[in-house]
Amino acid sequence: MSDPTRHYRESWVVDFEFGAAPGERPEVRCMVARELKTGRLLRFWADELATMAEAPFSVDAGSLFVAYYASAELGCFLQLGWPLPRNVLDLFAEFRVATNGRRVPSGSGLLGALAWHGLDAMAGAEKDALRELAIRGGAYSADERVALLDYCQTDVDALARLLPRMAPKIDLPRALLRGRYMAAAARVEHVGIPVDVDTLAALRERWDDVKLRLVERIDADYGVFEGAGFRFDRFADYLARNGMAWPRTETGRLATDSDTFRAMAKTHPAIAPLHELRHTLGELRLFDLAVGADGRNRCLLSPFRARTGRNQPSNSKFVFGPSAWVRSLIKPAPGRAIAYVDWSQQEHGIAAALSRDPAMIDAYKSGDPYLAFARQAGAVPADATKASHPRERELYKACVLGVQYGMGPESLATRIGEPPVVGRRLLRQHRDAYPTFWLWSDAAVNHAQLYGSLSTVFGWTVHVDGDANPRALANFPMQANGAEMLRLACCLATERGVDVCAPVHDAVLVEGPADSIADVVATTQATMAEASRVVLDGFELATDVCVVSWPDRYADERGTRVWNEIADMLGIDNQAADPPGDRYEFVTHGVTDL
Amino acid sequence: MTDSVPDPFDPANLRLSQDFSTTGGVKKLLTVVPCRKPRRQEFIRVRPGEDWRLTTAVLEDDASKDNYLVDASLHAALADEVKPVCLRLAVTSRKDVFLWPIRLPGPDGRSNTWNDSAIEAANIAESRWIRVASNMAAGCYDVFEATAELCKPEWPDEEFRELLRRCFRDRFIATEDHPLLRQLRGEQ
Repeated sequence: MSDPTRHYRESWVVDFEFGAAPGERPEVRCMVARELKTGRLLRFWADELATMAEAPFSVDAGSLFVAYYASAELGCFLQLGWPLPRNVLDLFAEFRVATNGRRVPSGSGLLGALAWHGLDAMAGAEKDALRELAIRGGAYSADERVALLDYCQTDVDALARLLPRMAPKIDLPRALLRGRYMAAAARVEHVGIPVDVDTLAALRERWDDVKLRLVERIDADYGVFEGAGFRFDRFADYLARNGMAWPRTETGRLATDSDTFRAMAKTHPAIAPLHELRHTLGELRLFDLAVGADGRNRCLLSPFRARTGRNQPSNSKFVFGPSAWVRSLIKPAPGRAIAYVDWSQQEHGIAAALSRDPAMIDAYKSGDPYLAFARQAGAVPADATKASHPRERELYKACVLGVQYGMGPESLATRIGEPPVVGRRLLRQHRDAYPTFWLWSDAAVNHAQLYGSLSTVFGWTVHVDGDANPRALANFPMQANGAEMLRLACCLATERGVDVCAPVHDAVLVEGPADSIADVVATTQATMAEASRVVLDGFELATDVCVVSWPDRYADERGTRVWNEIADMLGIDNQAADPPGDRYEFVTHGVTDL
Repeated sequence: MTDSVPDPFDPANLRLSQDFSTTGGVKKLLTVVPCRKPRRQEFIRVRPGEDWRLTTAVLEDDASKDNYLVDASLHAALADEVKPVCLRLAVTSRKDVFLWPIRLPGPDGRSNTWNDSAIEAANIAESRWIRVASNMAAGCYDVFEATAELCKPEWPDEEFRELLRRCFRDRFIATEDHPLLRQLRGEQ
């Protein structure tokens, strides 16, 4: 498709300059737009824009809106109260599609894209100075206004030069779908996540003391710290006392990186508080959590940043970062409720549906794919239940999850605390139980290595070089199509008026009035079901729901122990201390055939 | 709009196939077909039907333990050296194909429990996944059947004749001056 603009009556390249303090919505400074066919140029300062009820150019079905990182521009639209454009072409998203998996010497920003295509870019230092001017805020002199408008126009003109260079490789229909998601992302960032700001302020005030006391309290169960320092020898003793196998590094040392702890905590929940504590001490930057004056957590969702196409928001700015206990700061305001709606075993469902493996589809539809796998492998009787065969279920669950992560037999064996022969047997049983899935999965890896790329149902692509990891490639269809599903669900939900606070891997956090949250949940579940049917060619994934109404707070069970200790130290009202029970409502949406 | 363009609000019509096998894939080539017994830890199936077995004779090289297929014209002359066998097409649960040489009674017609139990195991493996392990005390092969529902055996596309060729292409004794026979005769 050589010229995307040929389909449209008007094509506008648009850029805004704005400032945004952490957690706040953008403060618009100015906007420049240029129509590509006529060359017509629009330059407006913020006070003029604020008087407009809609954009000063066409955004209807006959027009194309072109931007770089369009969620920022569309966030300005929302702040100005303007209707969003129907057709959004985001050259950032398209640059990511074109280069995902490749080394991009100058990054994926506008300058990086210009450099990649051999186009001249504005000097970086000058850009930084003007960006600072935009962020500064306050009153602007006439010269400063002109400078910012000129700066804004240089980006617009650069985009106008970039588009023809990128156009030959733009798959416009799917590019517009990605642009549609950038509009959804802007709506999500506009809404933000409700945070208990009083508790956050108390926590920040006493943070150093809280950390020290957390070590005392949590480590009482482990005995692996000396002061605030983690001791390897004591950790080795703890593992030995508890008969727990643990991965080691190539040098034979116990692996204590965050990924290992996170993975081990999934199969050994007892280790989860220690993982939370280590992360809290080592990596958590509580003061970076971006919360605005309205008590909402907002940060860039960073769409399409991950190799799988998933969002990649800042770990420290986003309340859904790696420390699970921080999520207990999420709390709806009086009269409000939030709902966490997630797809049940999304990756397993995607694998089953896309590979069309009948046994795997049966396992997914059973509602408990782990026990179904154990049954299909002959490890448990046909009438086995989660209660009657918990150990077997855990083993086969670890195998199903391990396959999704591309785990080998040794790693799987370590995770389940069994000898390698058991890991090999489980993986063999998985291959035997799901031969169609494995044929499909192997074909995906072969396709990637033969053709140099692998794409999702909507064209999100990873480019493959000679060093590609086959396990990562095998996992790509599940992860990246899961990302497509989440993006589509966010589009549908936000377009239908749902206040989506955040997309979270395989879930969305939505919000509404407490007395009508059931309607919000119903709409959200319907959109997620629809998104799964579209991505999976008719196969519908089930969803689970957890509703939290004021005065309760959100809770993630992995962080409950640490959060309870913190709440106790701070003497705060902690209505999430109990495990999910009568204050929470779990609803499972049905599953239908292909 | 001056030209029709797919609607971003109709994503069902934008869906690309995820059937990677139809977009050009990779097929495992069967380049090596070993002639061997089943290993004690592998589950196997044996392909039923006369088209998938051959009653013949093989000569085992003591040094390498390799089996050489001996042309029928030499069987009588090498009666004391060759082993009469039935070569049966087998496949493991890992999709590895091999020819299982099952010893048959010699010229005297006498058999033993090892051979009988191997024949029985191969017959069972025509319809069930089994593994076979030596039971030295009893002097026979024990047969263990898989209790799990394993996948259907995947048989190679090649005809049995071609599988034989691939198995014995470098180890086929057609004439008396084959190096292995000359070695047995003590010739240089």
